[in-house]
Amino acid sequence: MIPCAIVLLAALSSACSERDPRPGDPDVVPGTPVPVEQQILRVGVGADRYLTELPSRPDLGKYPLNAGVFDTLVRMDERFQLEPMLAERWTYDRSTNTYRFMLRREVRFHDGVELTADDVKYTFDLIISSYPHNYEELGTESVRVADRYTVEVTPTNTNLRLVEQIAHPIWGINRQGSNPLKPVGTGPFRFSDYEKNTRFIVQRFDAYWAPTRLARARMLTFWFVSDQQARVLAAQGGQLDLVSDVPPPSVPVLERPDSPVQIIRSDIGSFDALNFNIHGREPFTFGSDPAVREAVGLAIDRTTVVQTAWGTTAEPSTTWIPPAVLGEHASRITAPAFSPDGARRVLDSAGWRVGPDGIRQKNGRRLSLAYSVTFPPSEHRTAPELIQRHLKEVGIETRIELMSDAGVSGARRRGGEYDIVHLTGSQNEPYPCFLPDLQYYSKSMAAPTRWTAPGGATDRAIEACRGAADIAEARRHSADAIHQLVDVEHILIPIAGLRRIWAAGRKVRGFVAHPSDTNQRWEAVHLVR
Amino acid sequence: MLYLVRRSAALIVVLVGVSTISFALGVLAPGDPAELWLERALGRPPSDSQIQDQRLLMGLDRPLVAQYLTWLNGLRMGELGRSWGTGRSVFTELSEALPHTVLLAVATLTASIGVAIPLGVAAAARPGSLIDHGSRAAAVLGTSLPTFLLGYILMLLFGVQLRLLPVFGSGSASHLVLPTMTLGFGLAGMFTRVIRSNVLASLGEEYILAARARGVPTRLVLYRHALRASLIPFITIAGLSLGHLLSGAVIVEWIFSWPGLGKLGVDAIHNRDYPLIQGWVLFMSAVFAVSSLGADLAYRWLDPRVRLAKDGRA
Repeated sequence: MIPCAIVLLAALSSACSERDPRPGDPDVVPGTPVPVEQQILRVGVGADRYLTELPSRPDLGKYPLNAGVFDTLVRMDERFQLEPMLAERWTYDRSTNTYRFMLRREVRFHDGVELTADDVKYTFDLIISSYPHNYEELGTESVRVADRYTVEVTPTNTNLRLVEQIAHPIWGINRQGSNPLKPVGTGPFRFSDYEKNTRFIVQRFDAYWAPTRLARARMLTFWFVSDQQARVLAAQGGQLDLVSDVPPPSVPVLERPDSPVQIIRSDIGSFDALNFNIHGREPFTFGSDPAVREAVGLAIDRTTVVQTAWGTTAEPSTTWIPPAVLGEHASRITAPAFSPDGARRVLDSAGWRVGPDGIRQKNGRRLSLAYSVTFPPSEHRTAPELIQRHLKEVGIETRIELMSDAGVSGARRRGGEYDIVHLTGSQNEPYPCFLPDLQYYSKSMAAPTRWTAPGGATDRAIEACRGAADIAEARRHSADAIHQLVDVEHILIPIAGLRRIWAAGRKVRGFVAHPSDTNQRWEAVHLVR
Repeated sequence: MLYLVRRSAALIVVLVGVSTISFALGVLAPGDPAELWLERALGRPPSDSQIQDQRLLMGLDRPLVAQYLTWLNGLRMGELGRSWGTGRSVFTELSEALPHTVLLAVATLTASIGVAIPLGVAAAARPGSLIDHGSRAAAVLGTSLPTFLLGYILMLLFGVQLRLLPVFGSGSASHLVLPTMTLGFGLAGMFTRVIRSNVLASLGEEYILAARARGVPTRLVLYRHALRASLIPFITIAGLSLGHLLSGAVIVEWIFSWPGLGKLGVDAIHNRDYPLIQGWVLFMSAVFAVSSLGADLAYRWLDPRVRLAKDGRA
């Protein structure tokens, strides 16, 4: 009885606070933007991942939410290309290993003060000191103010990829001396309010430096809703206008003509791939056998896997990283085509004979791989099971270990306790070698790399990529590195290229989903009648 | 008095045991909290040297016993440590989340009792009737349906189809409705059955026959005489159901983004935030143990027969 009463009361209050005009109103023209004062959008995003325990860290409003409070010197557009933002142009002097960034004039912070080179130095110094190990090629003495509108950056070692690296939103420019917990930037939205684990609110900044990019929404409220399904239901129920990371199985239902929401897909920006442990210790030594690696690549029908697990939200991948990052060089990577017979031949030649139960053996050892799956949402359970089936067809047994816990999966990867690991990740920088460098450079500091990095030609390609004079050349070297990993060494088996999937109310317009996890823009999004 | 002292001493032993187990589980679980913290902070896998530095900062390089004793010593002074996720005091985190959970628990208990009493009495008054079978079916459904599934069903019905209620968040009465219904459905079913069987038993008592013989109206017989006598065992069950509310709240708060203790606990587990997990487990255990003690004491106070029996005077 009491719940019924509460439902009725809630219904009444909900009806009273109805925001949209009535369809019968004579001045309502469908499809026209709603008045400015009603341009208030509610965006549902995942759990709040801001770390506010270090008050000096200028993160709030930047990655991972990227709420439009800050601009970077350069940004990565939806095609993974660099775009000048607060830096109008830049030069690099190889003899002194120094970058000169010429800043845009007449850019105002949200408090009305003009952006100068001092703010850039302040922000860079703060980031470098807040992440002492992350940017070891930069020190606080690396950044120098040349004049009011010019900043010079001299890395401690030669770094030709600096401009691509500072496109990451973490390098958004803070107002000098501002409180990081009440962030002041130059972005199209100014900070309004933040409630930990609940919401982050921004309002349009009318004095934004790019008039063509003035925000169309008056206010955006980002709600942290951890549960994916709850986010989608909130969008369907009209409680949210836009929600991130829609689970792929929900997409067909949400795309029906009578659905109250529309699905918005980004280009390919993330990957799903298998990764061999090639330097494992007993019993995780199968990955050191090139025949096993090659056979696994040949045995997987990635088209079936992708269609079944992700439907229309992904594409079979050959390039591992988004093809747009590699440009014309993407075709250099072919990836093994599905060929169970080819896989059988490779294993036969390597002495792996089919045992009585159909699983191959060699010197009394069963070909049984420890197959570790990290962070498995629902679709990542389907994909491993299909892959398991495909591998069994050619006599390879897999023991799937679903690592629903980041601690467990991190420990396994660090300790090399797997034969194959199933990983996902995102291309979050325009630096073409961002992912090969992060995961396969043998001199990398990252602990899991010691089990996966082959060294040799891959390292040389990554080093050439780092030293490339321009981004086009870097793309070529990145393609070389990935070709080595995928086609030559068979250490890496690309499975799917993933899109970011958003659901938006039918009255939401102007939203362009960025394929990366980092560079989403919000200024064009608005509501129509 | 002796009983209270005995139970309080047992409570302290339980809490020390819980604290030891929760500390042990936290540190024995696979995964390095320093690595997890760094991976979250940096957005990429950390290096060995970074992990070592972070372990030093977090005090994870010290022997387990030393870590545990430090934690216990802090506990003695009312300090539960600082959350690794937010840097704030664990006590502050818990105390900020507590009112939300209390609100949800009170609303759920009130709604469940409010539904269970009339239904249970009506079912007892007419055994085998439609209302009796209906309440039995609802009770079975309520206790067997997984909480998260019921939550999604209610979201779909009231949030999406009818668009009557918000499906996440807090801050208004309407936000409270769906979590309350989700959490209270099973509880109301169980309460209904308990009240039904207690009232039914009471209806066979002689004092009920006497009341009826005096011409007391049926409604008064049911509510004033039979129900009142049935409420004593019900109070114990309602007290013990606090455990059900707290454990159910973990799922409900998560799916409805309700900022209470349940969501706080899940977030802490996801982030491997050991100080917060330890504080949370200890706090939840304390709430559960104290509520059980409270229910026992209330039962003894309401029913002198129990008091006498336990004191060996029956």
